[in-house]
Amino acid sequence: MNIDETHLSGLAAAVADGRRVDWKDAESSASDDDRPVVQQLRALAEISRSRAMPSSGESWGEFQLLEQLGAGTFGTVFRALDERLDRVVALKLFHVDASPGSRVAELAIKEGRLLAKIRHPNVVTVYGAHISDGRVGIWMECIEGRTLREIVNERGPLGANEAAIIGIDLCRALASIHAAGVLHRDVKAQNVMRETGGRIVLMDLGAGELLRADIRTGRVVGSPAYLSPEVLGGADHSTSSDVYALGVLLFFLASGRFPVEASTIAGLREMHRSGRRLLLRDLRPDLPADFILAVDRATAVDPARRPSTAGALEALLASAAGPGLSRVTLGRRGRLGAAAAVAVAVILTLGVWRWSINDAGRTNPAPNSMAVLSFVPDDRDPVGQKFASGLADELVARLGAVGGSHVVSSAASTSLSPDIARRLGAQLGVAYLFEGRVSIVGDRVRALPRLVEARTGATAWAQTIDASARDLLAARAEVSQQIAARLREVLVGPQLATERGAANQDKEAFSEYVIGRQFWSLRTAEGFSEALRRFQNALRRDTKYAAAFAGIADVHSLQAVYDPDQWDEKTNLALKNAQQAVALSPELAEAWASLGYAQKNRFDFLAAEQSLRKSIALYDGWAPAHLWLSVVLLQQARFESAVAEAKRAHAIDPVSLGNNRQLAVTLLMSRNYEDAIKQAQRIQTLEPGKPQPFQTLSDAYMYQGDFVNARSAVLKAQELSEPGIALAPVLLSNLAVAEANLGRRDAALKILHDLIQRFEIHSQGNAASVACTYLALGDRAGALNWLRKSVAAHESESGYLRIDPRWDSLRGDPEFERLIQAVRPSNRKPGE
Amino acid sequence: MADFESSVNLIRRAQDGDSEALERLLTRYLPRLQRWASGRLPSSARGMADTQDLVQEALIGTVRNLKDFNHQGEGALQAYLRQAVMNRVRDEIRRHATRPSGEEVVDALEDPGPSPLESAMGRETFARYDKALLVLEAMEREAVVARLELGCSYQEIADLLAKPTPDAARMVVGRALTKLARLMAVLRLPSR
Repeated sequence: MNIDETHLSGLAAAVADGRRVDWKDAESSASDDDRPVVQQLRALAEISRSRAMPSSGESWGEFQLLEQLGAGTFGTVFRALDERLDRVVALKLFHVDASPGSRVAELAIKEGRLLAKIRHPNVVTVYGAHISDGRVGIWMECIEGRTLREIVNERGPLGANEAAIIGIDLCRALASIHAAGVLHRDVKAQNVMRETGGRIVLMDLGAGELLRADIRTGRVVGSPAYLSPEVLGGADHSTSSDVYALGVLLFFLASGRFPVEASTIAGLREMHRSGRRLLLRDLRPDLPADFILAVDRATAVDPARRPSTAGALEALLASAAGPGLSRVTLGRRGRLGAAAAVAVAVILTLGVWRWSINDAGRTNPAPNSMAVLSFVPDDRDPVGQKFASGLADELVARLGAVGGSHVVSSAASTSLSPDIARRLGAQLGVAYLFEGRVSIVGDRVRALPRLVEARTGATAWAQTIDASARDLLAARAEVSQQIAARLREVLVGPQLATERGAANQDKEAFSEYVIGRQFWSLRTAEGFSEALRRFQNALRRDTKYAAAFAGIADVHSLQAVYDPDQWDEKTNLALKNAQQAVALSPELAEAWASLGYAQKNRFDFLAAEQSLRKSIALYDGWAPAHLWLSVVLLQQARFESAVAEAKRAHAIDPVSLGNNRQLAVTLLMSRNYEDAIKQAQRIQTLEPGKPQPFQTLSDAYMYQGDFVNARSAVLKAQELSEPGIALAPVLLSNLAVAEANLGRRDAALKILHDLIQRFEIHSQGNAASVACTYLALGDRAGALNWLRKSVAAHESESGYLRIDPRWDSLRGDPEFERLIQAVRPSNRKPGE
Repeated sequence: MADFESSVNLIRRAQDGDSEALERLLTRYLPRLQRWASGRLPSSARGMADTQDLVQEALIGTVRNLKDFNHQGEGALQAYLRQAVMNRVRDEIRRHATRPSGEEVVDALEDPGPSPLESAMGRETFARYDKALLVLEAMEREAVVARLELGCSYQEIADLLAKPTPDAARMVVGRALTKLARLMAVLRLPSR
């Protein structure tokens, strides 16, 4: 065996054993001949590394892994079900190998116990730590929201007020961690979540000791930009280095930058050594001096100059969040001008609007559009400030929960004079402005919300809302719920349960319902069963919860569509639940939409249309109602209205794939081939590299008689498909039609044979595709015969027999017309 | 660990309707097959139907239809079951993926996306790996799959391949990996 062979065998053994290898070194020390082999060994090492981690659908100990939420260098985080307690948690499984009894294992248990002792509203609650299957796992509460990094990346830097208030929360979080004798070691924007309701939560505990135990030599723990100079220099982490990291985080929140930026660790060290750092006051001269001072102190190079504890930093921030804040310089926000700097968030209550898509709305505001301005506390105490800011955030979250919302900017507040209201309304392109005042007196919180019509400056609605101040988080939730519900009523009347329900619904039931809707919209089998579970949970809390019945109906309806074998059973269930929903709450838009969709699945188009129109009349912003109405109209060949409804659904939610695809199909069926091609190309930009849009393209070309392009679109779809997975029958039959029309009958016959075999022998595939191929080969009897099978099997093509261009040459044939009638027993009112 | 004779015996008994035998076969093979399938199936395909159930049904179907498998050893039996189960699972996925266009159903046509293994290695490298595996000797192939994809211990691999000791199994795995990497480095993939 020569030296190279030994080298390779050694590497192969390391891969087999799952040991770590320095691949850079291995590649550079290999001979030119062996280097490609080393590279392949490295690829093989990836397999065992990726397989060593259990994946969603598998179990770890008593946990069922539902979904991977993220993967980092040190571990993978799953949404998991704790089967003992029937509770969904976030489970972090570490990459470190920990056999029972090892030092790492002991540390894991020790650290898990420590972390589980920390109870603070701004710290993620750790439930436990355990070793199972040779792997360390820590499980904790599952937080739904976005990280501060996502928020800053999306919105740009925050205002000083908002940053300071977040900072205060995080100081308290850090203080409680330090008090438990734990260091965080990895405070950064990616590790802080803002929950949908506004709560700030510090995450990713438990990286500390455990990681250190796995680190052999000289490896630096943490994210470089957040590392203090002394840690970069090799010192251990300390409370002071956590404070430093929090200072860097505040710097980032206010500027989107870091005090010291370099691409390598060595570069960072050099920058620190030579004292080259960015200054917050240069980046944001508009910020109040107190805030800049607090950040400067926290990020001081010399640990002795930093606030000695997280609590000390909190005190600095609290003074920054005090009176100083009203000095926020107006006009820093560029084009929006001075007055606009007070805007916190612009929301279109109908949910039809997205900032980037519909700029036209600025000059001609939609009648229900509204900007939410900050709440102003009546006095300057930090508690009131914090409460007010959190209230505005929570309100924005509530109002934006269904449609698109966009936070424009955050800064100080002002009181709306009619003149300012008019200017602001024009600049923001909204019809209404919302402002409010809050005061905390003794154990009462009092909120005075006011809705102002921008055009006139007149008060459209105002109310006094009181709540107990004993639990400020609960008070905030209660007040914002009441305001959101009232705003909805004033602005849009009856609306979606997702928002209205919040005001008078059992909170748990409401939350289960909203989560259920999210799972439902995934349109997967797992999503459906989880959605069903959530809706049923909601009903257990509130047996008369109409929206939950509607949700259950929608799950069954979609299950029927996805699996025609269960058509009758699921459609009946859907109908029953939808009727229940309507009976319980006849003013609920979702209930009528669900009823309409179930009726459509019973081919009762007349009733379906009435129900869907009723839903839209109650509330125009529920996209599924438009989507489904479009289907109902389309199947009745009412093309123009069908396209209009599909476009409306698309306008409400322009990035939803379902809405985009429905629009493409509607255009196609309406014989707007050029527009269908354009829409298919738009979908390609939404899901690049996916084969689906090419099916629409091949259909459009085929219907136009352009068989060359139809054929290449199929081939493109094939190229993009999963290797080893055969083309969908619909695409295969398109290929056959193209081949037949291009004079290659043999090729078409071969495909026909394949399609029939798939249907007859492997019971996969679809009869309509066989029919279509027969038709292209000129065998009408064969085509009709297979169409009968398609109708009998409830294939969803059968719903489109009447309009699908691919059957145009069969139209007028009595047998074909009989088939159409067989599909739609109760459609007695064709045409408009 | 399963010995081959008893596996063949269990299969015969299961085919004769012995439910306890079937149960024992499932206990023996199902977890590994499920684990293997979970690496090889795209996640969205797995979302379509519960993979665990799918693999279980496929395994039961395969066991019932298995004829005269009596001379190639436990490793080959496992390889055979794996292939048969995968074929059945793929069929099932195709059946679900072949829904026509129109309303909600269009979502089902979405490209199922890469499998976890493809994500880990990259599509091209995975294709290379998969092809090179077929070129290996059957025993080498089993050794690699068992160790890398199934995470079997060397003791389990020794049982599977009828090797006297875990160390001997480790040698087989190491040699097979070297050979595999060499194959992967020279393999030509058809340009698509």
